[in-house]
Amino acid sequence: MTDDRTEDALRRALHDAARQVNVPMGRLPEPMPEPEPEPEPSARPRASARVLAALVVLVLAVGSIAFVLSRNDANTSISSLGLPAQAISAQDADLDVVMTLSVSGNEVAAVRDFAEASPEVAAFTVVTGEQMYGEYLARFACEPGADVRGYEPSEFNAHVRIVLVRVDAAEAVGRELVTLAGVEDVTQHGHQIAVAATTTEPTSPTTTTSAPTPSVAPASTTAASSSRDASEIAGDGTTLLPEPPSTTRPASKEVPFVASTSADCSHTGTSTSPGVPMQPPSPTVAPTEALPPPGDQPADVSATRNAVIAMWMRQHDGSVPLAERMGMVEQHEELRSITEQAAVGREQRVATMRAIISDVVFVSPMRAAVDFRLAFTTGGTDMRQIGYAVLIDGQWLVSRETHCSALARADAHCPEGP
Amino acid sequence: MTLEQAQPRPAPRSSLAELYAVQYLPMVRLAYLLTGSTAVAEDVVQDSFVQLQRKWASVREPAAYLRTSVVNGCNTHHRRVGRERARFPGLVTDSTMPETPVVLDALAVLPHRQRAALVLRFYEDRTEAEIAEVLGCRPATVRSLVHRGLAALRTVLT
Repeated sequence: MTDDRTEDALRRALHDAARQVNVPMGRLPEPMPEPEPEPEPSARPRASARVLAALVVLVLAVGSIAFVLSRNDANTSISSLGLPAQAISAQDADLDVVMTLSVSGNEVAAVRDFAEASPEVAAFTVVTGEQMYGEYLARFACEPGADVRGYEPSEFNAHVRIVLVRVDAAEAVGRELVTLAGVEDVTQHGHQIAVAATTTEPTSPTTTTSAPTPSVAPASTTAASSSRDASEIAGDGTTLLPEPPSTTRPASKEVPFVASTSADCSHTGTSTSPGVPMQPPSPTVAPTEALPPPGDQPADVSATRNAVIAMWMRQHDGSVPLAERMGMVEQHEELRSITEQAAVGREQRVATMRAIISDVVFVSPMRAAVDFRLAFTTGGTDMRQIGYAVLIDGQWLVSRETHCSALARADAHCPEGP
Repeated sequence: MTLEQAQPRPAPRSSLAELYAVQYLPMVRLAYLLTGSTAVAEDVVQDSFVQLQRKWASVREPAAYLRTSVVNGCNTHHRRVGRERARFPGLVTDSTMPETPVVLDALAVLPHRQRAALVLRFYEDRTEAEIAEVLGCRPATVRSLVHRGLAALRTVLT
């Protein structure tokens, strides 16, 4: 197909598809006041307690999912169906159950129980949000210019990938799945076949054991489900009891998710098949960069380090106006326009940004390497980065390459340097 | 002529309500082509109008701001859900041309920037300079994105 024919086909298809979209116009958003500054922490003890409690629940939920996953022997067999004991890839799954971002350990357990009990499910793999993030990193690791470092594990939904006994049961199983709390929708090879009717409420402690199950379930799988309820999830669904002896444990349909340890750039497709090595998720530590060795030191190392840290913190403080922050960037006049462009639509998130500095190393009296991460009070932390500060006209500034690297993660690209 | 009259004047800005009336559906269609979901497209566009409303006083070109915000919002959506879901489940294939689903599926697996460049170029008929403005890159980069996107589509469509 020639260029012109491809262009024509694309143009026709785009207009054809767009014509199908005839949504009624929504309501113009009401004017909203700027958010008021948060009162001092001491003035909101209950809010702080709630945040702390939410964090504890989150940690426990993630821990319980990780523990349940880790408990599954990699050799767990689903051989009764003649299927390989390998994690189910996105491509191999007949159904992809997308969980909500705020899914709890209970809700994942309910889907797991459903899959165990359903006679239509041959095998399934639970993939946490962090593992989805790991797959995503691996998928893009080999693409030059791919923007992956700004992504956060917390932005990825957990998935449950299911292989069915009969593919024509997909819609029926999908409809049952979306009745479970914590399920956002169910897709079949990228096509949404069932979606949850409303946003699900947090699951009560008893929901796991009373989660809907198929009307016809083999006794053995029901036993497996009950066994899991009793042995792994107790009370609030996050406390795990000791594993029963393996000899009494019924065969599970669950195939544990296994991520390999390195990206394989000889693989160029988008497949995430089990054989493709994948980068394990690592939300807070980027292993590829290290601080450079120290060089000549400034006359007063301590004071200079403090000056660099103060500048770095303020330059990465989202509550500081962009104009002021740009003033702390090397060649800021040239980069102002592209920076403002990249910030469009991201103002709210950027406003919550803070830098967390781990170390500062002077490679020369006029250049310092900064080991830091960006944290967002709305949730999430960027991966560890190494940036550079440069001393220009007596003032420490964020180097052009560091600023451009940050812009690249927002899909914006600096003009060619001088 | 007074000095004031001699100064170039900015084009009069429409009100937010006027912009909403004129741009809502086109922006939803643009977001739909970038996300594959009408519901997501509506959310992204509504969020973009909320952002625009907050910045209304300081935004010089509201329509350009809105378009960039929508494209950025679609990119954020892709980050959240992963690429495999960026397809067109709601497409009613009975009422489209036979090749439309094939082309859209091929488009859906492209990286966001390539996809955005192609949609802005061949759906909205934007110039390279305009696309560069939206994507925050140089026109030469847009050329490269369009070229690579078309090459990928050609591979699938032949």
